[in-house]
Amino acid sequence: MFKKYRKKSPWILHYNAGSCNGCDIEILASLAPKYDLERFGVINTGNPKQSDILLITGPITKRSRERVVEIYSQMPEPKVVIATGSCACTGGVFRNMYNVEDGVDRYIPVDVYVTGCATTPEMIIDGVVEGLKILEKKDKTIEKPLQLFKNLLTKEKETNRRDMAGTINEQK
Amino acid sequence: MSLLLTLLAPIFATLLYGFERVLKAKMQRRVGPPMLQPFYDMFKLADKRVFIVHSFHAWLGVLHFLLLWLSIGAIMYGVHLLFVIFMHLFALITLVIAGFSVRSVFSHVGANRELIALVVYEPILILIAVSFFLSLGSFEISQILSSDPLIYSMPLGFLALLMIIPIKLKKSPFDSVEAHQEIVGGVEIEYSGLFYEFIYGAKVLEYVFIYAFVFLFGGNNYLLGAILVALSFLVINLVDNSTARVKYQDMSRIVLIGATLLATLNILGVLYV
Amino acid sequence: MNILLVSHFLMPLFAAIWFLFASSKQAKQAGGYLFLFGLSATSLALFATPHDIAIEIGALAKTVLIILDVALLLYFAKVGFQAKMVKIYALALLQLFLYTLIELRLPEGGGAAFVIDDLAKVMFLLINMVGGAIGLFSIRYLEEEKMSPRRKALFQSYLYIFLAVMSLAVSANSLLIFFLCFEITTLFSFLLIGFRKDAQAKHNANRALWMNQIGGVAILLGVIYSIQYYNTLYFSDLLALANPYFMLPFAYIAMAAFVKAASMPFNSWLLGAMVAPTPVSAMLHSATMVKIAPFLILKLSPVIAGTVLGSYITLIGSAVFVVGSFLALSKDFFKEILGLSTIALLGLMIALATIESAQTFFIVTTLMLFHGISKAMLFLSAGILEKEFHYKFVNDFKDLFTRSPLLLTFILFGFASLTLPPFGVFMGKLMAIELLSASILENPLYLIALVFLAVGSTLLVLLYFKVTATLIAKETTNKEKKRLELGFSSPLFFLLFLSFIALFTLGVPLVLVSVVAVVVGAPFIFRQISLSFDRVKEYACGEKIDFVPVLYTFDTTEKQKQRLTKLFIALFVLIPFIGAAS
Ligand code: SF4
Repeated sequence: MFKKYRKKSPWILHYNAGSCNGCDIEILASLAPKYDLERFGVINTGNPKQSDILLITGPITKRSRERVVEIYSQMPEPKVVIATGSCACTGGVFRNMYNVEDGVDRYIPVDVYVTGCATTPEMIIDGVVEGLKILEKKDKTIEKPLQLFKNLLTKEKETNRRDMAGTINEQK
Repeated sequence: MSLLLTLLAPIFATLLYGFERVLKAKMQRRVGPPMLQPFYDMFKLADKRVFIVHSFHAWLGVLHFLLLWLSIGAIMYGVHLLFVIFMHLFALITLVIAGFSVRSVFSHVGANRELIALVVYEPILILIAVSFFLSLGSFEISQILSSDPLIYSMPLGFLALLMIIPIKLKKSPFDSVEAHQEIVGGVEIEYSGLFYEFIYGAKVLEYVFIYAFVFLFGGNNYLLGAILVALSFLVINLVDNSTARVKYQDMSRIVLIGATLLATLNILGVLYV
Repeated sequence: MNILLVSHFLMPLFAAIWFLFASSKQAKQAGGYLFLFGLSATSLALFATPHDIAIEIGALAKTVLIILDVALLLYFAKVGFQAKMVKIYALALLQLFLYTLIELRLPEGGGAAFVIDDLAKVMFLLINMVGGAIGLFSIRYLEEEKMSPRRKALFQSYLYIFLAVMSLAVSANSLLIFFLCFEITTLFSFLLIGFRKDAQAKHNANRALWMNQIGGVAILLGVIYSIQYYNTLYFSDLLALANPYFMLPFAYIAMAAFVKAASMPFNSWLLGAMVAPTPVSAMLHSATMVKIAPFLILKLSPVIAGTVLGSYITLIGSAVFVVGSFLALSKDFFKEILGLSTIALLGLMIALATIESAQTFFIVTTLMLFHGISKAMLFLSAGILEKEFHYKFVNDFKDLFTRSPLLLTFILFGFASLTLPPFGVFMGKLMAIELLSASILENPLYLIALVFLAVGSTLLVLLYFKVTATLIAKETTNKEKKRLELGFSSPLFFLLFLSFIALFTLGVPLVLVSVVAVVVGAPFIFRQISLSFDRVKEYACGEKIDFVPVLYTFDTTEKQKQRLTKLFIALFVLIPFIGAAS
């Protein structure tokens, strides 16, 4: 019933998984008064539990892997992940470096890829709009991270996702 | 009538909040969201998966909303002013307890700041209520609303109230209690989806609460009351847009000393002028 | 009627004897419940009697009283000599001297030795119901205590004798009998505080002894002046004859009240009482001892209300309220926090008791009753924490939520009932604000008291709920739960029940009471509903850290504390001068 309001109030969480900060600045620029994303109801919440869209930048450094998965699993479904900037999509300029994992989609499912190094506010806005279309179609089943997924306790009624995000050490 | 007002209070509050967001956007030369944006937010939140940390915490969020609503109902029914203030205190304490009941740094920091803010503005509200009493001989809100406007006889009290509105509504310069991006909303951080909706609702109900307080200064002249509300609404938003956040220590110092002094002088003024 | 009275006064004594000889656990438990209900019944019955009851005593009884008095004072002197503390024996000998002086100049004409008036009846309720609950609790508590069965029995009977003496004290009409009871409460607090017999206990007991004797001296001075000015020994005559130009006797008696209330600068004796087993603290803070202070002021209220002395006492009391609440913010020891908040609230009660109004009596008694119930609940919880969980400092309390939600509920309820609507203490404060605002019109000095009251009560809110912070954070791992045993929880349930029942006497709207009932009960129901929701982890920026909440404090420096103490000593010493001047 409320499905159509999803796209009217997308709340954004912005996470930097080791980017050079170029795309972060573009994201903030698109949220700032000039582009005025708020007219679409966008709010930059800074809290995964209250957001619908994860704007993630950076190639996922090895340090940030656990955090990304943790934050991702704390976002309530339906949710959309937008990989922002080339390095978030594929690793970009950092590809094949010793300390990065090339691209966000190795760890969490990505819905929209926004390329460019750095990308531009217009493209980010386009990406968000694209993401909203996907968001509207999604249902509320639990989305799991692709790696570092530990366990989801489901007793007959109770769902416990406290331990959804595992650590690197546990995986090995 | 009172019942109707009480029931409509959340809706009215949400509209007010929507209007405020538009106003703020206009002040920054933006287009801003539609007036009904808060409703869209609410609808969307109802459509998310429900997350809770533990049930006690979630329940306290609901309770906070209900108690706040109750205290607004108390205003609409025109009961004892002090009673309203303390009902409101009760509502806030549930939020504070909720903030403490989860093992989250930000939530605890937020709850602590909420408590400090409470210590700061609660005496002011009480003192203002007392000055109402001193000039009218009654604490009943219905009495206040049927007497002559009080703004002329107690302008200092009005100023003191203006000083604490930003704290109540989490606005600059006194928004360190919530401090988005710094402590990520403080006590509300662990709420999401359906339960965040209650917190959201409570947040907008605060608008009704505090502006109803402003309205009281108009006495039986409802038009004057409305003008006062509109004026203070403008001033608060202007100040919000043009100041930076102060630290909560400074906030408590400024308000505790400044506003208490104002409120006390106000009482003396009522007594002797 | 007489049977009722006799049984009321004798029952605690009978209880004392019972516990001296009962050896089996069942007998003790049965006794605890029996006396709780017996005492509640008699005090309720007395409360229901419409008129005042006066009792006279014969010459023989008077001689016995004199002997008791002298023996008591000599005993104090002996304790002083043994401990080589000049303060103790000097004060005891001073009292002995003053006492002989009085006995030599005893005025003609008799009067009723005891009068049971409305105030006494309310006090009976407080003393016996709350005190009985504490007595019941201490049976289970003592099982965990390391001492010989003999001493346990002794301890238990001391508690009940304390109750008997308190009942006598609040119904005394003769100042000398009141003095005797006052001194006996001093004696028992001394014995109970020193019960554990270690160095700390002895030290604190001695301090309590000398400080409380200052109160004794003040009463005796009051008696001397009342003989001089009014030529009488009886409260009833004093109240009838009182003349606003001769306030000195009342000033002295008020001084005694401040000592008993452990107001600054005497706060250290009550805080020192924490070394004793917890039922003692519970007893001293809620049902007995310190409650003499507001009782006394309230008794004198008809004469001192509205005078200069009265407003002076209000000022001191409200200052104690703010300073006490503020000092409590710097503490970490649970019982100490409770203790300082007791001192603060007693200051408030004293402050309110001297305001001239028809409502004063109602407000102060409400505050006393509800404060007694809530504090007893909190102290008993502190006792359980100590014995069952081995927690003393608030910073240790971290996993209480997981380990015993029931106990947590009691503690939270205790805090809430001291600060939030619609409970008695809160209602008292509410009415106090009204009262003070009405009084400002006559005497602008009350504006200061009002500001103090407003600030002080929010400080108390801050205090209680910052303590809550460490109590309540729910542990994510599953620790083993602990069920509260009936011996521990039944007195608490009784007190909970009392505070709800008492609400109806206040005329609090039913709506509010039910709101509170929902608040208390609903989390348990809500837990069932919420099963279908997802449980998630707390947000910590994606970091995997364990968050441990700690209590933060607002420290006062040593210098500030000394300055405050000096200020309050000055204020205290000024009381008789103000009394003489008015
Ligand atoms: S895409 Fe380029 S500009 Fe953007 S974060 Fe990566 S490296 Fe920086």
